[in-house]
Amino acid sequence: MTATEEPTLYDVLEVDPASSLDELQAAVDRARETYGQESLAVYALVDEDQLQGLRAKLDEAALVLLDPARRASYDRSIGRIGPATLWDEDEEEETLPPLEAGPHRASTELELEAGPDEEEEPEPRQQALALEVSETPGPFGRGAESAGPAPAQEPVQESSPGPAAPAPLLGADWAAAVPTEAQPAGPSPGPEPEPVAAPAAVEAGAPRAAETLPVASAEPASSGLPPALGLRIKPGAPPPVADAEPPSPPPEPPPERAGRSREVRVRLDIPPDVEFTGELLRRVRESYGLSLQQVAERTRITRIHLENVEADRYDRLPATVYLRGILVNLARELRLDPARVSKTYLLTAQRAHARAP
Amino acid sequence: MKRYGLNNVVELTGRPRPRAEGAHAGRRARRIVAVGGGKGGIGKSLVSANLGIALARSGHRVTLVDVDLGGANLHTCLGIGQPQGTLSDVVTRGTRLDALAAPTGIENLSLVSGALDALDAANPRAQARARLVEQLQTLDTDYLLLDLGAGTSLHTIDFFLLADHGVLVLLPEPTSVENAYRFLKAALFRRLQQTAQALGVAHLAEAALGSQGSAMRTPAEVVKAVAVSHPDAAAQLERSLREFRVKLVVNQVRSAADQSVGRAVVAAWKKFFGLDMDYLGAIAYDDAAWQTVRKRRPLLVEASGSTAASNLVTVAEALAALDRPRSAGR
Repeated sequence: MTATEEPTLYDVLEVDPASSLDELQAAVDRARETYGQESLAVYALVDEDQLQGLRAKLDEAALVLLDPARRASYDRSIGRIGPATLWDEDEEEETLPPLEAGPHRASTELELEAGPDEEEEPEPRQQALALEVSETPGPFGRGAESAGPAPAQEPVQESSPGPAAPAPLLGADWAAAVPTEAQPAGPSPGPEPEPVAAPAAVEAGAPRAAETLPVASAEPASSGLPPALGLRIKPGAPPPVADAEPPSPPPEPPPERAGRSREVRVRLDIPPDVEFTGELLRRVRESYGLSLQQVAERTRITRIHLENVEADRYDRLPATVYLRGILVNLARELRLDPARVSKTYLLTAQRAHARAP
Repeated sequence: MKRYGLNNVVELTGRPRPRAEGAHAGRRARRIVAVGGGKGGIGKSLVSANLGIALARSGHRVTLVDVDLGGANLHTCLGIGQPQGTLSDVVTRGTRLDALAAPTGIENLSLVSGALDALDAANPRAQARARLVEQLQTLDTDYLLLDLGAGTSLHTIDFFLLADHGVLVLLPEPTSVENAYRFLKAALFRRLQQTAQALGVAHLAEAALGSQGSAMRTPAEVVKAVAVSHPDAAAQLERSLREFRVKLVVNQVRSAADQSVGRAVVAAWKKFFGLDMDYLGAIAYDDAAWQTVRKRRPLLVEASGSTAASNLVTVAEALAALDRPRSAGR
């Protein structure tokens, strides 16, 4: 209550700075549920500006802290030693997939984004942390052998969404994180290596970025839907398919992450106005060569839920608010537009419910 | 808490009183619990009546007081017919409160009904209100349960602030949540004003509050503003505001999503206002609840096996548990 100094991103998420990635992910999920568009708990609590401010902060926290590389940079910037990472950071940065790349694409930018004084040596450390440091072999505590909180986190990081995944939290800034330049990719079957993400990403981001940025207020009115978490409803304008020409795909190779082969086995072309069904989600997943088990591990969605999502077994899926969370996470993992996926899937599910009470 | 309860008296009477701690020690109701929520029809009376029954059954002497002066109907929830004497007698005729407490047919539980007829009883004059407050604070009972009316009128809020435990009832619905927050913010604001006034820094608090249009400053900001020139007062103000620790009950919960609303409200309140809130629990939406209301029989008596009834018992246990660890010290 009397805290005066600028809160850290850990403060924003209300987690201990030594939290494992698992714990951070859980905190992000919790925050998403508590402060998202659909949350009753923030209805009429404070004015919209304050809420948007918090959501932007939470987005930033998710973006930075769920990405071990960025987190390490950030930790240094606040004078903290981050937990160990298991892989080579450079490699990691190169393989950032296009969807989240956006403004943070290049590794240099990534560094900049992570903190103002990342280039400094870790002198300005807090005392308590210095204790950890003394046990840590590497100067940055980044070696896999790092002491302190690291051991518990190692397995987690490997199977986590990792740096590729941290899409913004509450949808508020989602569009901003989507590449806004170039690649107005339609369903063009061009020879580009970009598999799945581009059309979806573009659909959500580039062509309509200007309209979709103020996510919270504007569009939902145009449909009967409530303003949902990251839900961007397509305005009357024609979908961007039309004007799209062979995209200039981002330079990055298809998603491929350290220690895990994510080569694309099948190329899928997904039109921007597609309605996502379980079947389509399964095909996208398979196009990445990911098993259900792998997706379950990476997203921490239980396998049963994933199976039920893919099989469109709506009656066995959890309540909408949870289902949306599942879909958003799954979509992120599959480099799809989370808003589009959750919106269309939920609509279909609702229609099914209406038919069979 | 006690101290600021007495400050309320100052506020209500406009007659300065020494801030003697424990002036009524020993005679004061051991715990005053106020059940409010801003909106009407959210089950405040149902919650009060059944919390009263649950606490009485676990051996506490409980006095229920219907302070919904304009719309009292706690007696109906308990199925005991039109009361003989009501709070309006305290307000208008100076009757003693303890003389009004009527048996409810449930051991250990008595009821003081709210005003029914007197037109002006819903808005008692300051002096009458002060008399009422004083009698409430000194009533000989283990739990004094105040069933508040809807809305954010000052006397409703003052009753809420008077209590050791302000219980906020809300439904997982936007209208209810909205009114509940309005109620909470009004209560917090009033507490801040009262405390600042008692500490002689009202002008500073006002200035801090007023410097930002419609959005309410967080308590921390006000405390900080006061601390610039009056660090001691700021520390006391902070302590007082921290004691504004609302107990939350979510009623008529139907889904898993509803179930999570309570925890989310606690988190959001803390996030934006920096204050703790205790979550007492959720009460399931249950046909038994309205059926028993219609029969004018208390849920815990008529349908004690229902889900809602067992939820209410859990909430009562959580409420009683609040005082167990620290009751000796306070």
